[in-house]
Amino acid sequence: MKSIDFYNQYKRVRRASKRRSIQLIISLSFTIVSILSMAFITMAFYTTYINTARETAIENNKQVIDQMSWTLNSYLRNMMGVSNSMYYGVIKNMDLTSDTMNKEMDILYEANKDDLISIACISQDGALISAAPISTRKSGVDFTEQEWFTSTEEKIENFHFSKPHVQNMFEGSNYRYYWVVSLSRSVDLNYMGYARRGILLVDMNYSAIEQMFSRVNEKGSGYVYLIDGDGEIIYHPKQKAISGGLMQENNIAAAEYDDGGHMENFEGSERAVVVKTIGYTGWKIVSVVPASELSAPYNQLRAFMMIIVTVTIFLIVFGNIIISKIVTDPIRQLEASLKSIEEGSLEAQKVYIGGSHEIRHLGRTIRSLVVQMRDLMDERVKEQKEKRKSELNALQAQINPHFLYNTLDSVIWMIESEKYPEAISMITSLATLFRISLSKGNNIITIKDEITHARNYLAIQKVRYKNKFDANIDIDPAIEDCVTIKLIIQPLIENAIYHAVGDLDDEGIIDIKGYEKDGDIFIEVRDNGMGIPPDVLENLLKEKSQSKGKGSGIGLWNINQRINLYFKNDYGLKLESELDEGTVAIIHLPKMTMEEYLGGEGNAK
Amino acid sequence: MQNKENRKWIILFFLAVGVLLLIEASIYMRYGNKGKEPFRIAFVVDSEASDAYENMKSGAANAAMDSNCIIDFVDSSKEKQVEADEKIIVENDKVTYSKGELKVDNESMVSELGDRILKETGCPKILLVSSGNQEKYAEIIDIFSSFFEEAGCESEYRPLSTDEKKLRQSMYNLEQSGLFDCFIALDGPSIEAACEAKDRINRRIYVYGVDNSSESVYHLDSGGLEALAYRDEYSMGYIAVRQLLKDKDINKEAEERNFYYIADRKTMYSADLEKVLFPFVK
Repeated sequence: MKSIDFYNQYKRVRRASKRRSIQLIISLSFTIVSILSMAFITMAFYTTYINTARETAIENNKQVIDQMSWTLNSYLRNMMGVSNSMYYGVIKNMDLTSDTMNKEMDILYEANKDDLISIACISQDGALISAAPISTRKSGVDFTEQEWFTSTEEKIENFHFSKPHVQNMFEGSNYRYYWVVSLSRSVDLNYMGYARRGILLVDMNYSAIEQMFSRVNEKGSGYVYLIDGDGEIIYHPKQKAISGGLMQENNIAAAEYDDGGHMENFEGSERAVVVKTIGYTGWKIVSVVPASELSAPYNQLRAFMMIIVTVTIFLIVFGNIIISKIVTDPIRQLEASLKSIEEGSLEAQKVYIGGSHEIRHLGRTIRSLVVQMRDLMDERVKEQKEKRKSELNALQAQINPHFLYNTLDSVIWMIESEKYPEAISMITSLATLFRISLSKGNNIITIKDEITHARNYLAIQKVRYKNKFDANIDIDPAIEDCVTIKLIIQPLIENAIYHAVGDLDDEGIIDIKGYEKDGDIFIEVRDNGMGIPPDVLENLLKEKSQSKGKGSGIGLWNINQRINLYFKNDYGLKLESELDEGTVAIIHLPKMTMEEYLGGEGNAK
Repeated sequence: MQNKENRKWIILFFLAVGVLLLIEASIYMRYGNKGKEPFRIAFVVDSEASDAYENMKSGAANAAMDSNCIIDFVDSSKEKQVEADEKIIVENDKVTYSKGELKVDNESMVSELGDRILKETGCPKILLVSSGNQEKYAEIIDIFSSFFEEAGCESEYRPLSTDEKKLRQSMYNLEQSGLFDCFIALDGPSIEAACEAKDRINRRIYVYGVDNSSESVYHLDSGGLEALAYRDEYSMGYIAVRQLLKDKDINKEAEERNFYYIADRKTMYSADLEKVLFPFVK
């Protein structure tokens, strides 16, 4: 299995990160900044909104709890009122040795029987003095062992509210059992002017309390429960599940809470708790709403916000990409232009100018630099070319001293032999030769002049070589007025004489032919000499570092170079040769008249 | 060329935004509608009596209270007409549903009640009675028989009449006969008949009951019953619904509970048993 080279991967990522483009940097940094800002604003907005919503929900809960508290308080006060009426209105004014309180107790019971189960008066030793509705004590029940009895005995000056319990003191006529909350108080019983302590018990109907809470719990989210001061549950919608250990409630902690709103974390979930204490009893109404339910009505808002945020992020990312692209595209195009300049293209028009003001200015500056650079380079090339031309022309213009010496020697010989006409003719030819050689310093002459020069040269050489060879010149008259570089045919004739026909035993022939072909001019110098070996022929037009004497080929290379310099590289000199057959040198020139050349078409052709 | 490419990007962008909005709108719609449809759970019970399984209904309703869940109790004859997301079959002290089953641990209940009977009565012969020969008692009768046999006692089961008058007379005759001093009544009617007969007879009779009715609790309170085995239907209903509502915390309770209580006159008003035996009145 191929293991991953994390170090190399890391290095690659580092390298890639260093090559990051300007567009990436712009879009990435803008995107990060935008998203972070938006996330912050959204979170701030959302948190504020949700907190406000939660506070509103808690405030609503507080109002519900206040209402509950008021209802429960009035119920309890009513029950205490029953107890007070019974005590202060009946028991206090009664001598129990002669009177009974059954009638008054029944009236009070009947008036409040929806809210209470029974009223009873019990003596301190646990004897039932009176009860409404009239009932008998259940066998085996000892009132003194009841929780309400003992707590009343402990604090005789107070009202006592018991925990909810099943009333099990009286014999019932049916199978019904009632859940009650016992309200007990210590009372003074009058027996012939002697006060004895007893207990007045009002068993409140627990279902009245249950109904109060059930109504609230049926609507809205969360639930409300009731605890006593110790946190013992008096009412809870899931009281049985809690007592059966099927669920837990945070009632003990809630007993410690002050009135008002609280946030608590119970069994891993956050809950909003509102507590309200019922004045006299110390009971606390506790409203619980899970935090998730508080924000439940805002789930759609959250979904909506998520959509807005997602779309906005998408817009930001896309917008950043587009903007960074718009900003960086001109820079990239300018970079491409610079790259093409770096690769050698100095076309100023191709330098990109666009984008913002700064980049356009940069582009214009670069274009201006390219123009300057190209002008400088052209100038430099031109200078070099001219220098080269001058050098080559100077080289070409050199008259072989041997040729001049031999020619003059021949003239002297003719004069001594009194061959004046021949001498005159030769001197005339020599004079013409020099005149054309000079050509007023022009390097470009007509083919006609160049041929004249060649003719004169041939005339001189024929005398010198005593007509050992014959020369034919056949020039198409149509090309005679076309231009050529001066002194390019004569060196070829010279080569043909020196290296081919000059030493032949048979009569040598030099054919000079000029014609037009495919819009160009071709001038051939053909001899019937021994020909040139291919290996020699191959190197004849190559540049030599220095002359190696007769037949080194500098003359041929010079001709070729000069044609290339004056015209294009398409033109020049070509050599063809076959051993024992002869050699032909072909000059290839553009066809143009002197006017055309002077009109600047020289290099265009 | 550049403009063309930019236009392509912009078209792509709007297409992407459109697709994104469509997806999110559908999520938004679904999210908005989510929770409106309540989860329905049907308890299919084997009794048509309106007060049957009262505690189970209370447990189920309590369990469903915080959730968007509707609980229905239907008689097994109407099972096919019920449309519900989940069905809970209640049969023979057993609750069966897709997450498993909850069952009263009869072995443990018989063992606990049997031990108490042997300890309190020392009777060598014990009679098990029920009103009618119902199959649903078969298992518990077998367990009682095995238990008493292992304990060296003699036990017998007698199915009595379902007719109230005949049942009372039979119970009276059985208690009067002196053949048995200890009775285990397996249902409400037989408990009532046994307790009434006990009141009329002037000798020590021990009556124990296995039932969930408030009448049986009354007989326990009034001294007719020595002890009552009370099935914890509330917890069964509560746990079943919580499990179906995917409350994982309740699974431990489901595994550990025996789903019964044994109450006697001394303990019936204790904090633990009071809320079990005396459901809150409305």
